[in-house]
Amino acid sequence: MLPYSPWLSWIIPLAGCVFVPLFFKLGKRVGEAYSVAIVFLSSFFALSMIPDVWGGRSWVESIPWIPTPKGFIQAGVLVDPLSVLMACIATFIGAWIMLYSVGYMAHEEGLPRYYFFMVFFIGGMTGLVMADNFLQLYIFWEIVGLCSYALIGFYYRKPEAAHAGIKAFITTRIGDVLMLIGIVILYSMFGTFNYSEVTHALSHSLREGLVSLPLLTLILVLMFGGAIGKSAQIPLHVWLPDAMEGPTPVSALIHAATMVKAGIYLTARLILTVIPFEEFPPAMLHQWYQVVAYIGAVTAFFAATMGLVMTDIKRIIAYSTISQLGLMLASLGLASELGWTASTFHILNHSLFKALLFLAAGSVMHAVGTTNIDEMGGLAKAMPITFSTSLVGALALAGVPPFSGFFSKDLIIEASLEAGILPVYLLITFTSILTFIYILRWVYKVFLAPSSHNHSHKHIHESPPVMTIPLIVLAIGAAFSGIILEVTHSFPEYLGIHLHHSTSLTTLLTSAGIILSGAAIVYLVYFGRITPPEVFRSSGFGYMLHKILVNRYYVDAFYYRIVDGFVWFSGILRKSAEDGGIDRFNYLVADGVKGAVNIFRNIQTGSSNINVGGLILGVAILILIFLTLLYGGLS
Amino acid sequence: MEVVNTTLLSIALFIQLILAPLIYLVTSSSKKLGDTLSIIVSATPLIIVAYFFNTVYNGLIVYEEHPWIPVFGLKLGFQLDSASYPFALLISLMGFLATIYSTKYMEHEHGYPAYMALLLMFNTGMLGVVLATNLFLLYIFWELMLIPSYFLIAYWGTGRPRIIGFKYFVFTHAGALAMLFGIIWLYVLYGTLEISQLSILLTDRAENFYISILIFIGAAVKMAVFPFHTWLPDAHAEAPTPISVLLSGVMIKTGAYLIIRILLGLFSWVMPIMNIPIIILALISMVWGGVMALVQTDVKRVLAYSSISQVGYILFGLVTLTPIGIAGGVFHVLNHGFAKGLLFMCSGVLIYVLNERDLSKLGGLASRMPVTATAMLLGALSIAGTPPLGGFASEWMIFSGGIDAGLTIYTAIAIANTAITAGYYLRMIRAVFFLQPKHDLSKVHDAPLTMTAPMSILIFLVVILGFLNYPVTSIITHAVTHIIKM
Repeated sequence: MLPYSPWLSWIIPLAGCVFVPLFFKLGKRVGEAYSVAIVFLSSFFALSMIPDVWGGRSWVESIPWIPTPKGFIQAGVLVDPLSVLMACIATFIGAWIMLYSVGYMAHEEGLPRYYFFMVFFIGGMTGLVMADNFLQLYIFWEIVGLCSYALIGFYYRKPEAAHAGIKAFITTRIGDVLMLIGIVILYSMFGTFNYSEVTHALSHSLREGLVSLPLLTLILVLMFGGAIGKSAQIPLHVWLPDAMEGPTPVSALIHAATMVKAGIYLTARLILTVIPFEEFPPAMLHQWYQVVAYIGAVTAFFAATMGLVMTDIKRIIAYSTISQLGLMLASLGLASELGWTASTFHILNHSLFKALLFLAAGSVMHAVGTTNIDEMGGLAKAMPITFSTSLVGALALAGVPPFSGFFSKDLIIEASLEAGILPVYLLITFTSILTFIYILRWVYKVFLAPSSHNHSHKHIHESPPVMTIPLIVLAIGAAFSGIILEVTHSFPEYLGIHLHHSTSLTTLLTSAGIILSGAAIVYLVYFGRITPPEVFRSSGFGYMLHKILVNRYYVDAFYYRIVDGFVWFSGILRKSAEDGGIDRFNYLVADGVKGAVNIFRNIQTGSSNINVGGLILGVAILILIFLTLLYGGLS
Repeated sequence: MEVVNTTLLSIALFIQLILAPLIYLVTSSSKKLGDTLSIIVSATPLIIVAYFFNTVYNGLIVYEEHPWIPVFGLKLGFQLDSASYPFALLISLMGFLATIYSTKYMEHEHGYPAYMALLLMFNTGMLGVVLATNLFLLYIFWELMLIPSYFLIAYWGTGRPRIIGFKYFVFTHAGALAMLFGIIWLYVLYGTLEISQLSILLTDRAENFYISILIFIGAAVKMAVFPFHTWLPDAHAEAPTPISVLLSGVMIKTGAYLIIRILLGLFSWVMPIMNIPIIILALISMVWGGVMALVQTDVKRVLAYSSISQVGYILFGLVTLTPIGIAGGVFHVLNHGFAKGLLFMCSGVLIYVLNERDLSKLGGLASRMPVTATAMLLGALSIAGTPPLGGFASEWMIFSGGIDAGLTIYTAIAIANTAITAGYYLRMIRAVFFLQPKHDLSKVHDAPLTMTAPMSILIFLVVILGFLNYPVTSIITHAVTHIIKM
């Protein structure tokens, strides 16, 4: 390990981002080089920690931070396989995406702002996963949300982008509110934010009967609310597809590889550190695990169905991201070591292939200047590197062996069978079939379909090396990460988990079934065009279904109704209660006083006789009072 | 507690009041010389307050006393301890920054010399409230703060300044009278107005309950707690911007000081009876202010309603009556003061550069005004409780206090309300800085350095107080454990 890696891996980008605008003052190239270099530097520190945590070793370092009347709050880092894995994903994949940005964003305005927030984000994300307490976690949690908001709204003059930024911030804030309530309750009960101290205090007070199980479940559900918002799960999933208004590298880094995984990370962290299986048997927290598993599985399925009908090159992959995040959560909710390992493994693989798919989509958009896949097609020849790397990413996502996605998805299915929750198993299986279909549809429409008439492909050429090299690096990762780690059994070994399982026959059959049925449908509908989608849409039922899916089950429309209604109601309140009620009442009182005073005005006659008479009367009354007080006091 | 005697406090306090006429004369003949003098004069209290930082940090009290009206046993006493220090720092710093900001923002206004003189007197009034050692003196400064601000609103304000100024005066004066009544009652019962003696003499009497209600009314009107709030949106939105900075950023916090010093410091055993109704008022204020801010179309009115909402948070923290909640409330006084001051300065830039404050007529300014855009985003997010900014650092303490006090449902509402806060601020930022510009922006540029320099200092504070707040929070923690004796 390089010295102070657990701290420097996130402090370097956090402190370094401040100087990004200064370096841009020296020149565009200098600024870009500095930003990329600083993230690579941070990734060296992150990667150097891998040997130290290999085999599940972990340790904590902390320093005093905030004085409160309850004592000092410590700031600290927790170094263990999970945090190091996430830190490496954030910094290492982040570094390649930064490099890609140099090409992709070359002609944009406002680059200092872009690079500032990218570097700031990478620092924030790494800090989030390295934190050893909930307060620090929450701070970084919001930092990455802020960067996400600023980067989604990068093209701030575009109304859709400005709107999408707000939508993302507010939607995730709703989840964060729940999470903060949970964190504050924990702090109030135990006086600490630290994960392991909370664990000790929790298990102690459970034994003593100070904390009831329903309360603990409630706190965990509140925390999980934060994960639902950040990882775009039902019912807070609506922000992620709109977030695609941001530049593509942002989608790849924040909305595919890292930030949206924060919710998965939080859930995995809770299970690993705060409510470990040994001290809190899954049977005890059965209800909470059920919530996690079902929200994940249901989201996975519904997001996949919406991915089938979208026509925007990035939105399809965005729905895919929501769906895959759902799979990871479902796997965590199975409450088994196998499920936990499968989920973590899928985090790694998904980060590689999904970042790859986004960068490939960016490369395509860069070349053709549109985002509608109906206007693309036949790009395979013009863009061979983009095509072949996309294919690797797509096959990895679809779960075709020997690409990475196959192995982790296999583990997830295995875990769901082991846990024996049939609905979750079925949802995962159907999701996987749908995944196969929508991502090959994507490949087909973009690269292989007969080219559309709108443009000639003569002008279209492959992207520059600064963009294709990151594609190739990520493609190599997406192609081989799964098989290498699986064959050498090094992933469980790295985590320090001893899995004694052998892939069951049912799992094998399920995987084969997924691939075969997916391939059959894709051939029938797209490649063979035996029943093309238009035929399906022409029937009454197909038309209805398509309409519902394209309108995203009307969930977005429903939310807009609520928000608009609230604002409308606020307007009514302002008119009737604030201006018409309270403020008017004030003026009524003022007018009333004025009227009352006017009555007394008649006394001010200006006649000196009356005035002097009044004066004498007043003095007489005062003397009377004085005498009464004097003698009353004496007696 | 040990006491450090000094004569510097009266200099810090009276230099602005005494030199105000001189500044009026000098500024009338030479603006440049007058401005320099004003800035130096307004910097003096800041330097003196900063000078005592270490003393207060180490738990000592800075004290100064002169004989005054011996017949009533009144002394002219000033002190700076850990309870008044955060307020004194806020007042002197914001007073200084508002003075600098005014030299540019107000330069073309009529009666500029008189404006400057009144501004300095206003600063004196606010500082006096938190330094006074007896309630009589406190009341005098309370009024000294009201009178100059009335003229500042009524003569340099926008819209219908006379009526709005009058409304402001009547409201806060009515509150002040309630407070005065309470103070006199205290004197009748205990024969002294020295806070330090009262804390010893105070006995368990039924009258204390009514006195604390009277004093709470005085504080609540100043803090614009629902339903005494309607003067605030008018006054804060229509006052000249540097005065809005002081009204919203600083003046309304003197109400919080009154609660800390008198209600929590002296009547701590009366508070548990009153705290649930006050908590409910605080909650209504924060939700009502937020909902009203959501439907405003004027930048400064959004900010003004936001102040009502945020004062609700401060009040909520204070009346949780838990150590961490009170500490959070006091800390939020600072964080809200800096952030709201910053936001009003941003709105001032819009008025100065574009002469426009209507949300529907602004837009697309981000690239033309990078400093203002950054400032507004940071200030807004800080108030919305977004880490790592200052507002979050105090808000989680307030929430933590709420849960500690067993007010889980109330606290959940307060936390949920931060989503509304984020909503109206992001809506405002989108309307001002995002979207397509509605003006010809080719000649639009950011504000001059005289205006952006104070803003930069506040940006720094808004950011740094979020995570490196050790010195400030130590002083606040000391105040909570030693002065309020929680």
